[in-house]
Amino acid sequence: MDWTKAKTILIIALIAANVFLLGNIAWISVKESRAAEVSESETLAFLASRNVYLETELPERAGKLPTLEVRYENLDPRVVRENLQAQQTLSEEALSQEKSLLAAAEAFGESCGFSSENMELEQVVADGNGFLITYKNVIDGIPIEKSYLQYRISDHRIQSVDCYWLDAVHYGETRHSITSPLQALLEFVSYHDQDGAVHVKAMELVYWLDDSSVTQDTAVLDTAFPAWKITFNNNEVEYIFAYEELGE
Amino acid sequence: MLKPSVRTKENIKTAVIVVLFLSAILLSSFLWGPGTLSNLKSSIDDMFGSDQEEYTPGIAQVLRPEQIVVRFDADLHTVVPFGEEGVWADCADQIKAFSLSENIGVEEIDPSQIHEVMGYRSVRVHFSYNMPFKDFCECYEISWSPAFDQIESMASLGYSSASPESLFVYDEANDRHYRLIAEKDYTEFEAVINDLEAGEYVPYYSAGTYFGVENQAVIPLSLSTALTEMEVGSEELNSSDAQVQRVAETFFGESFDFVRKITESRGAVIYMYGYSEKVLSIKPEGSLEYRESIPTENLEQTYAEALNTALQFVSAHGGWPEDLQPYLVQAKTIEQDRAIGYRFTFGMEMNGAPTYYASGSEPIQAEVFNGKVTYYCRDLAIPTERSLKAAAEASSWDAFPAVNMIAQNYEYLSDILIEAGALEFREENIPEDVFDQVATQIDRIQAGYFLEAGTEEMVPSWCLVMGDVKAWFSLYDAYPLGYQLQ
Repeated sequence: MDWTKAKTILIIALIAANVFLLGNIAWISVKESRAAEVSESETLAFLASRNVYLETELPERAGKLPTLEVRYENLDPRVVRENLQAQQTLSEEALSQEKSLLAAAEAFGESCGFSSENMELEQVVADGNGFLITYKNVIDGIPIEKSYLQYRISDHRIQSVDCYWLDAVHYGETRHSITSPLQALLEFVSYHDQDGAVHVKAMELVYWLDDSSVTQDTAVLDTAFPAWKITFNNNEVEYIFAYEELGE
Repeated sequence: MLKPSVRTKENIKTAVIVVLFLSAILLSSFLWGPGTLSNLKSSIDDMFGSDQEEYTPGIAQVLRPEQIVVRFDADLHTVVPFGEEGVWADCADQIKAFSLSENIGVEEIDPSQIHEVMGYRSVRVHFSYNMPFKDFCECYEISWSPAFDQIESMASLGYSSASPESLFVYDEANDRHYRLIAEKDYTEFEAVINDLEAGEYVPYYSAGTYFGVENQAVIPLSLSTALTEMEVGSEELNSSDAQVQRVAETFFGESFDFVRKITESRGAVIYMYGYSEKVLSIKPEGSLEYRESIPTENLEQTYAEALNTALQFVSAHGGWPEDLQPYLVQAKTIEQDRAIGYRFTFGMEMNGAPTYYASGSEPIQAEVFNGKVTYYCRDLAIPTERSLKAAAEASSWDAFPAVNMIAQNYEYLSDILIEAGALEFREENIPEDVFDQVATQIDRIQAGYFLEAGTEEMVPSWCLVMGDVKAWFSLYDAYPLGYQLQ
């Protein structure tokens, strides 16, 4: 057998096969992007026909994401109480600077044994005679929904700490495709039963776990799934699982 | 410029072939999706079968009678030992032989008539549940006769030498007795009775003979048994994270990546799919519970098909234990969300004896709706190797006489019967004939194992059944162990 010739023929055949496969992939992606353009306008028209109006920009598609294992973190009430009693009062100057308030809050958290690299400042707002400092929980740019840490400052002291913290332990092993925001809206419409118009004010991809079936008292570890958070009308919120495979 | 040698050219070609081949595979997986390779693997697995084929007991293996009572002469009876399956197999063969008769008639008879014929040499097979008569016949390959149509279900079967061409069926659900009549005696039940009589057997007499009351339930005169205390442990479902995951994967299959896992502070691990469509809970004590929503697709199954679905489900999700023999304890038709299904409860035979759990739960329970198992719980007590070895070498002991056990505990039993509403008087107004009233209520007595709550020891016990009441007493000293109201 002429191996040299056989190898040459095999190389030509494989090149042809690769070209064929590449051509197919390119053709499919062109077809998909055209279909997406068409389907966006059609979907929005369909949503409008169902009395659902999009009043925000659609977020970008998210590719693939894994699940996220989280640990329910509770602040020890006894430690918090001791630290509240032992804290030093804040000066007028410190109260007038956001930077100083944040430093005091973070120092207090650390003294209670709390720290997280996923803590991100959400807002500092004036509240009566004092301030409310709220941190949210964000991992790799995606918020872990409903998880927060909040300090209430008044009378030159931190008065209370409110915490519902889901500490990210690790990602799941496999990454899975995320539905497009339009798919999420369609799913939202399919089971959202509400009289009157629905005005979608915001859409955001989050890590979410349904806390209605568990409590922090009994659960230690839990699994958060990527979900589309849809905020509509008067700050009403609905979560739609974002894995394509979980879609109906 | 230096020309590459022929050898170098060939090596380059080989490398190019490898690269092109790998890129073709990569592009194929892009084109047909990431699941292609795993789909291919599962197709190959399906084609050649899995290496670890799980054992599934047959329906006939688990449909075992609770008690086979054989009456010899006068009031002399025996009860076939629980683990002795050969006698039941012989009886099933005789029923099969009976069904070969061409013209079988069926007539409904009075309880007094059945009582009368069973007073002769007879065999009576009791099941602990009602099952559709048609499915029973199918399971044991008994030829179906159109005359059987009127018999809806069956809880016991009887043969009497007073009417050898007949079989007697009791439909407990409808409280009806039937007589099946062939033209002549096609069976060899007499031979079954003679064989048992010729061998060694434990004599039983009716409660009426012992206590002078109206009661045909049979009680052994004395019983020699090798049942010893058995050390048991729970299943190792949660021995490690990997083990928990292995068990859970069998329930969710390809959806496992999308299953929510919750670990509770007390060690239980809960797996939840979708909006609680499927929920699996593995407890730290080694038990598990699984629920899934009833499928909307209406797939009607017969009793036997549903039982087979349950048996196969258990095989695939935890399997059947090696050292215990499963048997059906209870089978009920149930209704949920406008769907009709079955609840099957399995018990485990150990060393030839039935096992009873103090918690009232049974080792394995499965509910089947529309062709799918929608509820499954499993809480098995597995004997340790050491205790199995000790049991195999144990010598026989005389059990505490059952009659004396009843006499010694009749006040305790009357309290339980009052609680169950089975006796009409109150505790503060106990009549003189209380003993007779208790003795009249006895339905069955059986030696077995009893697992006390919170212990890891199966205790040899007498199980006394009185209507909806079950009470357990230590087999060797008649000490009360517990009771259960159904």
